[in-house]
Amino acid sequence: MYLIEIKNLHASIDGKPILKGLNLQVRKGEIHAIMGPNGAGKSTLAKILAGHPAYTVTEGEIWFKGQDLLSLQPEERAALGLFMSFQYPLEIAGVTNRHFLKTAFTALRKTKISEADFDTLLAEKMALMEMRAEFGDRSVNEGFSGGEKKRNEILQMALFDPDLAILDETDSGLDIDAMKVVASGVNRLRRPDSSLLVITHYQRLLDYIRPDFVHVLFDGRIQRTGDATLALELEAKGYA
Amino acid sequence: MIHVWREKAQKRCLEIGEPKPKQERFQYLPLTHLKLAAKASPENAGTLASIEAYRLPEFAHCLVFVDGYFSPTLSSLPKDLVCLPLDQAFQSYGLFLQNRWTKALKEEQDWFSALNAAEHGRGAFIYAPPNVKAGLHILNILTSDALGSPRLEMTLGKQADVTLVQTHVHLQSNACSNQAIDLTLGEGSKVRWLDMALLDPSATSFWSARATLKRDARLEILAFTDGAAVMRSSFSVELAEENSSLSLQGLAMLADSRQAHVHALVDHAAPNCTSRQHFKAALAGTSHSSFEGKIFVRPIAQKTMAYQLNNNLVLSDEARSNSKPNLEIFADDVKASHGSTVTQLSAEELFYLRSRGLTEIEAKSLLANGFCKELIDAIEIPSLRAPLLAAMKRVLANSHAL
Repeated sequence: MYLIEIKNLHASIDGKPILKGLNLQVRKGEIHAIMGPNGAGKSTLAKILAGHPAYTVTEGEIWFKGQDLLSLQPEERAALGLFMSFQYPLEIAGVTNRHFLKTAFTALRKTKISEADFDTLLAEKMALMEMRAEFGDRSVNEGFSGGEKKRNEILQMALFDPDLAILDETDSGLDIDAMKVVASGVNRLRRPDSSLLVITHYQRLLDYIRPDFVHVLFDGRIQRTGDATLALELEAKGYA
Repeated sequence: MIHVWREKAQKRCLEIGEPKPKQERFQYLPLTHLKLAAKASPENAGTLASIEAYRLPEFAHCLVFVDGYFSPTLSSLPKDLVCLPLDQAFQSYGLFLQNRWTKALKEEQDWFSALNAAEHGRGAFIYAPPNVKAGLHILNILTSDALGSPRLEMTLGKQADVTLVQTHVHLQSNACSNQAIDLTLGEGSKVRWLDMALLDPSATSFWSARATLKRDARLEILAFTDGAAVMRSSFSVELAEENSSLSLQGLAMLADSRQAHVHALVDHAAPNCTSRQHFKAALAGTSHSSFEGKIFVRPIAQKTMAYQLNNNLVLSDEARSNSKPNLEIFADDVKASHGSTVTQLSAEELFYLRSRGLTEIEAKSLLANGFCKELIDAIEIPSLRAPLLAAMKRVLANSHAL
């Protein structure tokens, strides 16, 4: 039984095909890395899984926890336990991070939580991500550095506790120290039965988040699959 | 004495001429429907039994205008400020007022402001002596649909610090008002002006704020409105001496067919002065907003810092917003910028929020809230927040996009 199963996925944006028959299966508890050159379709895959309205799926199926993912709205996918960490997290003016996080937490859990209980939970998760309390009071991602934005993404993962987390180039724009914080956060957050899809350009992040499988995405399809050593080989030889 | 000035203002009014649609400063106003009502009579203050319901709990003192006439009997005035009817003020502060009015009338380009100088009811005069710190609620009541023309002349001594909050009460529909506020800020003095123009939807409301800032003075204006049938704010601020600074901010939250128009002129006439303008409008229904602003930097005004930003969020297909920022810079060592946006809710921001579990409606409402709250959160007076949040909710409820 797969947690998520992607079958023969074809997708395009503005009439331009990006994914051309992609297949992928992830079981509970597995970590999969997807690597590939620029323009291969890595971020497109992440956005389609999260339900971005700009992409059109022209063929194929995606099953997540036994449900037809493509028939669900983005918020329904999130409520079902799917989380995507954005490559470029959005800035939301006038909305405090704390308010945003609590609104999202309440929406996902479909239960109310008292202000005090939420503050306790938030403080605990922010400590884990080495984020200062002021990041709760500031507008969502506004004036955050690249590293702070990525930490804020993983903070959301910590709060929402998804079954499948998709990390879209979470390492891009991070220095080595910031990457260690983010990676150690991800590792500590993961339940034994939750899964990760790590999308990355470079092997670097995979030194910290050890994948069970590495896939090479090229020209809209998975071209090769291997274990963690494949990432090292790609690092040495390139994608060609 | 004051009748002489009314005549001079009348003359200036004729020179400027009635607003015409092709004039830049009135190009977005629905002038074809504009008809100012006949002048209100001063007799109605007596008919108001009590104004307690309109008072703000945070302010012990209140200056009351009824139908444009300053009412000393209804007002409760602070002892540390000199507050007088304008005609009486001419006896003690005549020289100052004459100098001020001579300059003001000569420079005035705006017909509505000049009209107020000619036609105003019993004006009020406030003098804040040096080093005084005071707060005052200004309550503007219109009891009928006749034209009220309240006028406030205010001057601050050195280092005086005054917070003013103005609220408006319309007891009848089709209220009509043409207000003028004239501020002179002495050295190192500070004025914080909070205008709460939450108006009857059928009202016609014009107001003009004029200010001159001396050395080290600081003026902060924060103007909120939910618009009216016609609503126009005209600001003209002169940074006359070194190191003075201005913060001019406004938020219009417009539902249904309400309108709000802003005309702002900031004149940098001395070196080392700072001005920041930020006007926002959230528009739903068939509402209409406009912003026309100019920063004018004179040759002498080196080391000026001047910023102007206008953001409009259009939440329905029929709402419209016009924006025209301008810079005229005649000094060479200046930091200045202007910008303007007219946008709908961002699809990427909506997707981000929905991917975090918010429904489309929740996401849109959170974004529109955020747009408005950036300025609403600047208010430190608790009793003013509820009516503003209510105005914001009306816009959201009326929004086609939600």
